[in-house]
Amino acid sequence: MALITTDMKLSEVILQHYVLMPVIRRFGIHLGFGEKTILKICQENNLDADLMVSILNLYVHPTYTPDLTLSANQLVATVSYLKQTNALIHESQLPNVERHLQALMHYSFAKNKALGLIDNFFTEIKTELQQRIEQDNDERFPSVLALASSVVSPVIHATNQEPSLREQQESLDEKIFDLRSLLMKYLTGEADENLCYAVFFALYTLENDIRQYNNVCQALLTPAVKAMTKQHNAQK
Amino acid sequence: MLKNKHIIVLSTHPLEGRGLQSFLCDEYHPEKVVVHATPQTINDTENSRCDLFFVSADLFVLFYDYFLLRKNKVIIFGTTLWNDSQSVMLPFLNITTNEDSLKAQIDELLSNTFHHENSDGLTSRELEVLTLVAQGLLNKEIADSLNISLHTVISHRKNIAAKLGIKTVAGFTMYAAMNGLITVNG
Repeated sequence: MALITTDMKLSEVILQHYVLMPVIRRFGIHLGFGEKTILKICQENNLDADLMVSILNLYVHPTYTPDLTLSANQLVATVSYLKQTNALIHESQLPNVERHLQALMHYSFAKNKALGLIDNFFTEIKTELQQRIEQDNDERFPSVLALASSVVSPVIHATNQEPSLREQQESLDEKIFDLRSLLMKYLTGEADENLCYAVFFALYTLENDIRQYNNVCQALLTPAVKAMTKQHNAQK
Repeated sequence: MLKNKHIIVLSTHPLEGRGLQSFLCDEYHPEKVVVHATPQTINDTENSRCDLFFVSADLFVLFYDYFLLRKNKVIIFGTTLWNDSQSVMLPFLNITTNEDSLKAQIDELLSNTFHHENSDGLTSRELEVLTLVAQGLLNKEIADSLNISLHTVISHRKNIAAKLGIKTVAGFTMYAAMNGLITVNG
């Protein structure tokens, strides 16, 4: 599969990789972009085209390593993209899984108590995910933004937190993967199959987005924070 | 079905225990059947070699934790009255019946029990490790509890993860709960 470049038409890229639809949405690009190239659309929306293709490529090519060291402006744009991702997880994807799961519990719990375990496991994942989002919004993003604007920084604090945060995030998408596996492979007994499928796909979308979020942090945000911290310390 | 298998029959009544032992030997020709009046007299070798426990309902209740750990290879026997009063579904043998019915029941229980043990390809040792992981024990604690090395525990965990396609402790715990290896509150 060829890498996505800024001179490609966005419509053709999306037709080929429909999973990119939510990514476009997070950049604030609305539907109806016609036959314009990615570069043109980015110019019109005041977006950084290089950053956008890096994120698009990270989304569709699992082994892709972006050849891009983020500038301060790009770092700010990345944080804004990640915030938007978190907001959508919080406002749309978590409630989506919950809605299907509640319906499944409502119709099938009386006949199949194992569904209670699925429900408990999801509640655990949800709590952890909400805590992570809160931590990102309250601590991680403000410190990255402070660094980007060269304010004397709580940078050391942010850098120290990277590994533990990453571990937590990795375990989150793995937990969702496990929950899906359990639902698919090991749930026996009676349960509404349509609703099981609905929960399964809602979980899949959530897991995929968390994984992509981690990829963006790992491939773009963390290296940029490290490089800027180093630069910042050298200037002192 | 029980060829090459080691069986332990547990009953507080010697005649009941000996009777079941004799019935199993005659009908199924296992490698060995020993009778104990309590799990406390089972030595480590017998315990690790044992493929199946037939335990009387009263002893099961009395040594609940012991048998819960070995739940996947336990068949409880007693009267139907006892079984009806239990909410947990466990392999159960009604012994207040004739020989034909006894044989039919054991046939079915055995096919279910041994099928269960292998349904996801886990060995009984792996099931033991999985149960302890699900109970929240650390690798070192599991090693001590099963008298095996830390390295062996890690290797069992890797195999379990590969066989089940599950990676997280939370996932293991849920698998264990869904398969009756542990009980969860609530």
